[in-house]
Amino acid sequence: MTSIPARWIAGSIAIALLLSGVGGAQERAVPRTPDRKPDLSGIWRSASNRYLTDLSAGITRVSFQPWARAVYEQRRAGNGKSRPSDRCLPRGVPSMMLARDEPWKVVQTPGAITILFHESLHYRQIFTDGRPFPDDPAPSWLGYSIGRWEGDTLVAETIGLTEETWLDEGGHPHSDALRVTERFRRGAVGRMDVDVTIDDPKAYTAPWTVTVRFELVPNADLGEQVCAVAPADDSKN
Amino acid sequence: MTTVPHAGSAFASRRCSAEPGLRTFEWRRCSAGPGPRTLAFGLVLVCVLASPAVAQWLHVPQPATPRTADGTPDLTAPAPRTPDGKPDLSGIWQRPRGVPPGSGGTDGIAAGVEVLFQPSAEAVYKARGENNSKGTPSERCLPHGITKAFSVPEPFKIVQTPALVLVLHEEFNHHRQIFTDGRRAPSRRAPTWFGYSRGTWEGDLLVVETTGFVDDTWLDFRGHPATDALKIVERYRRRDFGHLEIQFTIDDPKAYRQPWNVTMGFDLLPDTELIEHICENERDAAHIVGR
Repeated sequence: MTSIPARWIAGSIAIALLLSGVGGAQERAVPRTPDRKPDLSGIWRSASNRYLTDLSAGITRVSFQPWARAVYEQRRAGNGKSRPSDRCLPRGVPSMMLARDEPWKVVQTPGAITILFHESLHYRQIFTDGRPFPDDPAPSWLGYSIGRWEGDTLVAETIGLTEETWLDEGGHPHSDALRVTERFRRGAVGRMDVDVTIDDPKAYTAPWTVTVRFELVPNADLGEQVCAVAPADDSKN
Repeated sequence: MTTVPHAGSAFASRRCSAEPGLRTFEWRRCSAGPGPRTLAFGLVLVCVLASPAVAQWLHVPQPATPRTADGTPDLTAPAPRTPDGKPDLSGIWQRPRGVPPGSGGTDGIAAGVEVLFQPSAEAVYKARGENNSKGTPSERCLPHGITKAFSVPEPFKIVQTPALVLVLHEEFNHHRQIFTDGRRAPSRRAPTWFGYSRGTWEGDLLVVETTGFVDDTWLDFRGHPATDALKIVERYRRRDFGHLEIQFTIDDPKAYRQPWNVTMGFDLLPDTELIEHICENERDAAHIVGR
């Protein structure tokens, strides 16, 4: 049997620790709520800005509808000009989850999961009490989210997102037909993977999915970040 | 259309009409006319239809709501309790009908309260009065801070957990955390608009102490000033299923010669959900001034 050089082993261990996010956290069981669901509570941050920059990163080809391609190309050509987040507006779902420097806190309670964002002090609710979607959700920046458990996976679906939101900072557009599905999987104490599926037949010919990794930020305080705009100019009125 | 006076708010509000006794509204984007300067008191919002959608109200029946024989929520039933025996403040709350919305009236939240200003604060307060309260931070979509956020007509939701109480304000979609896990206030922390809040139970009262505020909070739309020396103590009491009372003690020796108290009452909004409201003042803004 061929012996493996000791430094290889050491290197492998170091990489394994890196991949685990928080060293040693792997060994501990993922916490659970009294009803035995995984408890997603904690402060989380995206492992990188990769998907914030381009939600389709790693996907060979996202198949646009023609108008959506035109909007996307225009936004790219304009270098992201008129991006809503540049005007203190929410990035929307899923984009507001994706910024490396904007952690968010999950507060999991029976019937709802509340996500508190560092960015702009905003919050988002995912209702897990079995309610249906409203018949006619008005377009909003964060949409209306309902969630259910499939085994240890929280499956959150969001509709009612205003067409003003961008799916990422790169400018992937969407229509009022958008349905975002997020599958939250806390695979370890310090790690959560979320499969994000964009289903918008008006904008894309087929749904597409990426998996975004999030890391637990232990012993942290969410803090408060606010975004200020200049007051409206009365003289115009 | 019934108009809702929204004192001092130059921002767009998504609720433009309200019928007494009902939380009704239409999906509209409102523009405040004719301009923030003239909007300080009792203004009229001019609503522009942004969507053809008809008026709607999210009806979300809550199984835990006590009801009378005909199924109506029983708002005078006893306040619910958490498994550990504390009153459960959770629910969606709103200023009662008939209470002047906002806090931009002659005396703001201090109506009927004797407020002894320090000279510098009195000068600021007077100037704001003469200026029709122009310059309130929320004109720039900045957070209201505690008392001002509670004074608006838009509802808020309390989510009570054993170690943390959340206040989710519909207005601006801002959240606030109240830590009830016995922690100490951090010794070093950047000042914030909502401060750092810690709560303890005194019998059936949730007593919340908050410090660590930014230096230019407005306590109300009228313009009661506050400094970084501000400490707010809130006492939350859920009188029964449908009624919540919060007493605020404003203690800011740099601005006021003695602490003063304000009490606000709130009614439960049963069987519904918050509606998103985002400050969209940016639509008229020349540029963003800071993050």
